[in-house]
Order: sequence, then structure tokens, then C-alpha cells
Amino acid sequence: MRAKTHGMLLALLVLGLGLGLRGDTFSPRARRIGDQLICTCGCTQGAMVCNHVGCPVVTQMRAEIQQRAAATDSDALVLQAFVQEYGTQVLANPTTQGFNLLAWIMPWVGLGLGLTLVLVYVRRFRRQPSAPAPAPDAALRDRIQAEIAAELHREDPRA
Amino acid sequence: MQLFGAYALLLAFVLALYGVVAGVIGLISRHQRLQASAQRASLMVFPAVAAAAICLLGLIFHNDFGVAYIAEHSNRALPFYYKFAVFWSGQEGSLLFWSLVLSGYTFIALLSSGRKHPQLRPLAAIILSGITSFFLLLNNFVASPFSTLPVSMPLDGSGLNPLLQYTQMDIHPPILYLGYIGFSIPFAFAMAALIRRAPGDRWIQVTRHWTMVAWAFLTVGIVLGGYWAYKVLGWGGYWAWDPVENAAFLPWLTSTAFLHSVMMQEKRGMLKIWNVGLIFATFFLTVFGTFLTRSGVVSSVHAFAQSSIGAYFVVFLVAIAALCLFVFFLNRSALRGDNQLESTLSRESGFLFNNFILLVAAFAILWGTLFPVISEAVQGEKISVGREFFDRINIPLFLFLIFLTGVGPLLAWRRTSAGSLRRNFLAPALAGLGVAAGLIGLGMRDPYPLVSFGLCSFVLVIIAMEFYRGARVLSRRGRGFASSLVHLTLRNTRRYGGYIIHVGIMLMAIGITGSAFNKDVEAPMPFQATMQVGGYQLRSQSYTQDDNPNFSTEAEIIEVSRNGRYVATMYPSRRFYKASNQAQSMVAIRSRPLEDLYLVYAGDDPNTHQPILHAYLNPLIMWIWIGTLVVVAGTLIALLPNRQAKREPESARAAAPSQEVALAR
Repeated sequence: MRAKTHGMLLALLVLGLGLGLRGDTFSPRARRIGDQLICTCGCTQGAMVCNHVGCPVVTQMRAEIQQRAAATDSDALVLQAFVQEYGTQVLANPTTQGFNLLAWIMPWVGLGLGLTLVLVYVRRFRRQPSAPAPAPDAALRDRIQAEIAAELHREDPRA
Repeated sequence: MQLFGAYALLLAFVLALYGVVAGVIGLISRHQRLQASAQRASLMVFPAVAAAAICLLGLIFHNDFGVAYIAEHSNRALPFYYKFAVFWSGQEGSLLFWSLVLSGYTFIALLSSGRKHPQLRPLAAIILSGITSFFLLLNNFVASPFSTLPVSMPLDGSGLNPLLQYTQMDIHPPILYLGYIGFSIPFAFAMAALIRRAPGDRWIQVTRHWTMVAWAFLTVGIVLGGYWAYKVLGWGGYWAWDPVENAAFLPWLTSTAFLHSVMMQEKRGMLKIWNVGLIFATFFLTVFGTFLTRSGVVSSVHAFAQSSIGAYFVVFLVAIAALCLFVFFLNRSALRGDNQLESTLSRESGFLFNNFILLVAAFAILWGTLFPVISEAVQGEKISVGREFFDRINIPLFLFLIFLTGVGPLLAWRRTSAGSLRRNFLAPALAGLGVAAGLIGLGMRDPYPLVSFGLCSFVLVIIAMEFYRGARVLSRRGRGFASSLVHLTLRNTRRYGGYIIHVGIMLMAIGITGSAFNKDVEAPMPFQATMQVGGYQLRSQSYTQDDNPNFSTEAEIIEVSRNGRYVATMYPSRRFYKASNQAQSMVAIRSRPLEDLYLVYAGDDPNTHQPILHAYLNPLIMWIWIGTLVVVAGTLIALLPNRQAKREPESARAAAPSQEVALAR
């Protein structure tokens, strides 16, 4: 019980800490846009994440992100501007249009297909006659306890 | 020494090839002596590869830059403890290391399986020799670590990649390889059993045992990789869904599925086809992951330089797939299940859903990893698939998996009554809901962390209850509670070791969930400038410089305080490695159970020339590393034989049916 209370307190404390934190030199919008872009230096890291010393691309990209985020263009327009400048690879994730939509759909198709297979498997076997049911849980538990006690007695008759 | 190493490798290749050819001929012609000779050859591959490996290490430590591999990956000033990392830092050396580990595993597996599995051993030896032959073929004729430079020997080498000059890099690759390559052994035995149409399920024991060993190494290897990324790459995180990281994670997912579903085969004779499929898939994915890492097909910070080696792996992968499919369809009738699923509310059903989720996650990750390649082939443009994609798909799946981790122990084999499930479910569910409600009360609104913390509490309470109930029964016989806990665990190591592994996984899940609250601040930090990150105040105190033959360092001295009280002095720095002419950030981390303060000296602002400091506050991250240690402890316990079975084999045999009942609770 005490351990559980400690665990809960720990989680609550962490939450409190997390909530107390605030942002920095990048505006929230710049961060939001930056999180959707990757550095094109070849490191495959996010534009807000790449930290290679002397990276030839990321400093320029971050300055552009700040600048464009301060303007009134929509996020989509800002991202489009980056695509035009750096190519589609600058986007951290596939778009949800055309062929790229497949990237997002297929995992859920896999999930649906897998779930169907599992359910078919379960239903198929449940229709077939089953073996006799085991003893009720309470009786089973008593029996197990009796068996453990008997085994312990065999191990150490003085106990 | 270089010639000796090259000849040792050639000898190893000839021995492995002989192991395959003579083994097959011996089996077909039922020539016992030829079979024995082939097996001895398979065993002797290891000493030959070990000799080559010792030669390469000798050359590395001897600074023999006439050998191209050493000239490219080492230098004189490299400290001796990093010289070990030179062995596996490049394509050629790492392939030799692969052959060394594979032949070592083969050596141990064949020696230890002689009496237990006399029927399977000859075939397993052939399969393992076949795999070894492939890697030795690469070692000898495609990427030899002993090739010499065509020009005269340079005075010094190009040096080891600065990213690899860390203690973690001395142990991360070997551990990861031990995991990756370890799956060859269960694959070989499963394949041998299927070819032999081996009666009974004894082969499943050796397969499960070796899978557990490989799984534990792979788990530690993956986490060590994350630890290395966290400590070295300096972006404040440990997992980026990089293709190479994903490649290591895929076999982990399928082998985890196998370790659960194999219990259904052992206890109920079910899912035999599925289990063989999982073992084949796991091995295939290890080779596929190696192909991804080494072929240059995908972009990754971890990948080796692009080379022609990918074509060889494609051929090998096709051969593996063809062999697996051929043997499977030829002998699938030997894999008929003995029993059927009796109830949806049963442990079998829980395992089925667990496998389903693990496999869907594996498919989603594989799809996301390969989509840039598919997109390039279809649309002619390479796109990126980043964190958002993988998080969006995998977070719900893994949350459901955590839920199943909790529910599993509450389900009995064959069927569970709804009443029993309700009774056992109530307290843990209330605990989970209580934690979630408390966090909501404190203002947390993000649903995923809420659900994750709630589910982790739910699972931990269930596991604690399992230990408590078992130990309480034993303690009634006069033992102390702590002693009962130990006795209980040692009497059924697999079950309670498994629970300990689940505790470790939950701790890791808590640590991973903490990343939802990561915060970071980046700002110029000239002398005496201050910065606030969370509750910490950072003040730039001074700079320092250092120089040694391997690298020069410049560090910023940051004084950290909290609520006006001094906490620590931290030294985020930047190194310039002389041999490779590369700069590298050195992260300063103050790690505590609740949070890590993580400082990166991010270089100078190109316009103002002021030093830039990137400070991160990463909550709960330490629990990922602690959880891994718990997983290792649980695996070691699960690998131990049951104490009862060891001390009193006859009574244990007599009590076996009751043990089964106890297990089925």
C-alpha cells in the first residue's frame, strides 16, 4: 500500500513539474511548423532536433521557420514553401493526398485484417464441441493450496 | 599477421562449406561417419574465425595502417579501450564480428544439444553452417577486413568516427549482435524439426530457450543503442524511429510474440504453424535488418556506407524465404494442433490478441520504414516517414498491449469465469483509474499519458497481487514473507521471471511516457547570461579548454540552481577530433529519478558568434534504464531451472500434473 502511494506521488510530482515548464526563443507556432520538417543535411533528424556542429542546413532552416512563422501565412502555405525550396523530403511525414495516403491507411488495413482473422479463428473453434470445463475457480484455488501445503510438508515435515 | 588472418578466414569458409555439403550428402546417403565429420567441421569454424578475429584485433592494436580497414577506422592517438570498437565500426570488421558470434553460437548450440536432440543436431548443424558460409563468403571475397592498401602504409589512420568514441559503443554493438545473431539458433532447430517432422514438442524447448537468450540480448542491445543516442547524439531523445532502429525493433516484436505464443504450444499443443512462422519471420527480419543497415537502401544516421553488399543480402533473403516456404508447405501436416480454443475468456485468447497486436505493430513499423523506398519506386520521389507517423499508429497499439499484459495473468488456461475475472480485476482497475483520476485532478489532459500511467499502475498492481498471493500461501507454513517470495520465484522461475520482465517493461513504459512532458529551451549563453528551464536556473559562469593527442575540447561552465539554491555545475562541451577533422557535441546530463537536466553546447551563433546552449528537461527517463535492468534480471530468473525440479526430480515428476494446475490458475 505504501509503495503504491509512493508510486502515485511520484507520478503526480512529475506531472506538476511538467506543467510548470515554459517555452523559449522559438514561438509555439515556429515549433509546431518545425516539428513537421526534417533537416535536409542527410542526418534524417527533425529540423528542430538536428544538432550537428556546423550543420550547413539547419541554422538557415530554423531562421526561415522563425521568419515564416511570424508572418500571417497559414501553416500549410509555410510547409508548401519549404517543399518548393527543399523538395518533398523536407516534410517529416507523408502527406494525406494521392499515393502518400496509402502510408497512413495500410497500418489500419493491417489492423482490420488481423482482427478479422483472429475473430474468425476464435469463432471457428468456439463452434466446435469443447472438452469438459475445469473445476470452478474457488475449488481449484483450494485444491492448489492443499497441494502446495502437501508439497511443503514433504519438503520439510517439521513445518 | 594479416596473411594469417586472411587464411584463417578462408579456412573457416571451407570448413563451413564442407559442413553443409558433407552434411547433406551424409544425411541423404545415411552415412553416419560423413555426418559426424560434417558436424565436427561446423564446430571447427569457430576456432578458425576466432583466430582471424584475434589477428584483426592484433593488427588494430599494432596500428598496422597498411591494412585498409585499420587505416580507415583507427589512428595512433585513439585510446586503447576504443580500439576494440574499431573491430565492429566498419562494414568489413562488423561482418567478421558477425561471423565470430554466429560460429560461437553454433559451437555452443551443437555441443550442448548432442545428447538432448540427436535427431535434430545434424540438420541444425547444416543450417547453421549454411548461414555461416554466407557471412564468411562476404568476409573472404566481398568485404575482407584484411585487404591491404594499394599504396605505401600511411603514418597514421583516419581515426574512429567520433560518434563511436564512447564507452557505450564498446558494448552496444556486441550485445545487439548477440541478440540479432542469436535468433539463428532457434531458426536452425525449428527448421530441422520441421524437415524431420519431429514428433513431440521437445524441439520447442531448445527453440524457446535460445529465443529467450537472444531476446534478452536484443532488448539490452536496443536500449543500449537508445542510451548511446541519448548520451551522444545530443538531441535530447533516445528513439527517433530511424530505419536502422526499426530494423532492430522488428525481430524484437516477432520474437516477443513467439515467447508468448510458444506457451500455447507447450501447454495446449496449439498454434504450431503460427510458432514456426514466427521463428522463421524473426530470423528473416534479422537478415532483412542487416540488409537495410548495410545496403544504403534507406537513409539513416546509423547505416554503414553505401556498398554493393546489398545485392548479396537480397539473394540470401530470397534463398531463406524460398527454403522456409518450401519446407513449410512440404511438411505442414506435421504441425496440426492438438487442442482448440475453448473460450474467448481464456489465457489462450489473451495470447492470441497479444500476438495480433505485436504483429500489427511490426507490420506498421515495417511499412513506415519501407514506404520511402516504395514511394520512390512508384512516384519517383523519396519522402520521409517520421516520428508522427510511427507514434500515431503505435501508441494506441502499445497501450492495448499494456492492458493485455495486465489481463493475461488474470486469465486461466482453457476458460475463465466472468465472476473470477471481475473479482481479480476490480482492485487493479480501481488502482489504475485512481492514478488517472489523480492526474486529471492535477491538470493533466493529454489522453495518451493519462491512459498509459493508468494502465501501467493497473499492470503493476496485478503483478504485485500475483506475488503476494503466492507468497502468502507459502508463508503460512512458517516461512517469512520475503523468504516465501524468493522461494515462490525459484519454484516457478519461468512464471515469476516472466512477471519480473513485465515489471521491467512497465517501468520502461513509464519512462517512455515521461517524454510526453519533455521541455527544451535554446538560447545564446554568453558569459554571465542566464536561462530558465523548468524549475532550474542556468548561469553561464565561464569557459574552459583542453587538449590531448586525440581531440581538443572547449566547454561552457554552467552553474545550475533551483529556487536560488546551488544544485550543480555542468560542463556541456564540444570536441574537435584531430584525425577525422570532425567536431562533436558532448552532452552534460544531471540524471535523477524524476527528471534529467540535459545540456548541449550547440555551437556558436553564426551572426553574433555567441555560444548557444540547448537545455532539455526530460522527466522520468531514468526509469527506462532501470526497467531494462529489471528485464535482464527477470530473464535470468526465467532461464533458471525450477528449484523444485532440480532438488527432487522424482517428486517433481509426480507432482507435475498439480504444477500444471497451479500454473493454470
